Amino acid sequence: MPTAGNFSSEIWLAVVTCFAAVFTQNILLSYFLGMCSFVSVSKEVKTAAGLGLAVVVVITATSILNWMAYWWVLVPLGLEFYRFILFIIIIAAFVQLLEMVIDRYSPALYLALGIFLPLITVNCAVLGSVLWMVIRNYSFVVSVGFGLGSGLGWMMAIVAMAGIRQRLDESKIPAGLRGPGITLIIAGIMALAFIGFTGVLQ
Amino acid sequence: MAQTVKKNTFVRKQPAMRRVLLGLTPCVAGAVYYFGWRSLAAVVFCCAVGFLYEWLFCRWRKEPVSEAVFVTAVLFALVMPPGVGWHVMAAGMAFAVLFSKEMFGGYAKNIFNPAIAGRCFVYICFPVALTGVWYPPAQEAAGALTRWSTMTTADGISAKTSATPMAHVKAGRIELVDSSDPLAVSVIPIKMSEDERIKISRWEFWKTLFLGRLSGTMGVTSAGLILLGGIYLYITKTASRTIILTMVITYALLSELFYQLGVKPVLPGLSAVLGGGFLLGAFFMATDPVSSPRTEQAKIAYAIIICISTVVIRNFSIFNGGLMFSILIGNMFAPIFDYAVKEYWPKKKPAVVPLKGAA
Repeated sequence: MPTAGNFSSEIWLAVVTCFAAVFTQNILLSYFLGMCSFVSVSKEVKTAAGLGLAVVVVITATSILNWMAYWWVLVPLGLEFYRFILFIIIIAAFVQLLEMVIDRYSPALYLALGIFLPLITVNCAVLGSVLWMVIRNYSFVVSVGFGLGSGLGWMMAIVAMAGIRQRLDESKIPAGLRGPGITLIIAGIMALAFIGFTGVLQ
Repeated sequence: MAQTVKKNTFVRKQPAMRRVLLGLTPCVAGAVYYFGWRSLAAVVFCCAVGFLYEWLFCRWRKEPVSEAVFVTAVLFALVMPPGVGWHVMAAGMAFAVLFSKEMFGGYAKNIFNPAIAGRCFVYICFPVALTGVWYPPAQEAAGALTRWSTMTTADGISAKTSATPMAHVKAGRIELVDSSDPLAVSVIPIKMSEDERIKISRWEFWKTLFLGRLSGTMGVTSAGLILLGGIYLYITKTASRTIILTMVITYALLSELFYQLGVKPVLPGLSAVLGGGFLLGAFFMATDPVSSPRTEQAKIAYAIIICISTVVIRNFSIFNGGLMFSILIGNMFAPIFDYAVKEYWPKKKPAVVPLKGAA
């Protein structure tokens, strides 16, 4: 199990990791994880913000659950090679739960998100950040910070993209680039901007 | 086709753009004075290739070429180091005009400032040409007016240096002190070795930054010349006053605050504002009416975001070009700020500023 320092330094490290995951190592703009739902659900700000919020909740919660499952179950049993299967099962179960909650409390958002809500299960950003948490040997508190930061970074990127896409004048864009094409170009320029933060908070 | 008709359909007349170009002439003149006639050739070259790229798309869309492309080209050329290769400029203009403007539907449809996007692109793609090779300005009274470039000295020796004063400051090689300090020098040496340390008095540092006889990108070494054009834009209301004021004040206060707290590479407020290309960015680039927000409240948020990330990137990142990345980040959030103001600002509807012209 990753060794944890004293509590206050752990909290400080978690805050730094959280900011780093939002700005310097943004899961979407630096590593391009979670592109599929980023491209398809960024047409409208409200839907994008809803999905972004769902991803923040899922990544943070599954970071906690998977950290426990990995360090308390798999490692003592020597079954680390099962981690992919276990992580996916935990993520899928949690997303199913979240889906029922959203359906119950916000049917409008449920309809707007449509197929992309269950697809959070296979959102690479979720599995990616959970795997990083394990590979980089984060302690429990830092894992929570990292999960929250990854989710917030993803949400920030998709909300900004939705704002941009609402302003775009689709009729002027060359026909072949309308929709996903121009979205990928915008994502590229956004990533170009975020390169500037390289070296901060390492 | 008659001459007059052809003129009207070939290049779209934009008075705002002409005022921006007029505002940029002191900077171009300064570039020629400090770095030789090659700077003027670079500006003309960027305008020519930019016009060519834009013309290809505009012909296909059956629209006249906008004069904004010349503003983009001049701004782009001014933030290039003196002596940068022609192929680098052509590649940068291609990214600026094609990928950040024409792909979005041409003039007034772009989300990102083309000159800034092009600069960031070449900054990442040609790091040595953009950050590692600098040439000092001409030291004689007549400037470099008699020379093609300052790439070689009068004796034909290469005058290459490795870093700009702002980079030396960031690396801790130049330290600002009061003028009473006996060790303070009055001139920043042209060449400094890795482990050299100098102290310079604050007043001399301001004077150097204001007059601009120091190595750096072609058009932005002199804060005085930028202010000359910038104040013209401010008075004629070509550039948004809200953005200019918010940016300069926020950046000065933020830098001063960090400096007083003793955070290491941060410069005190006035030096930070005068240094690098901050004023050019604040007056000419961040105020681009197309890529900046439309509502006044959003403009303030946009300027503050740019300043915060400029302070962070300039002082703590591995890159020096903090302002250009920050303006790109600002552009990225501009539409969502507008959206937030329009949706959630209480009571009366916010005043939407009409679109006048763009860089």
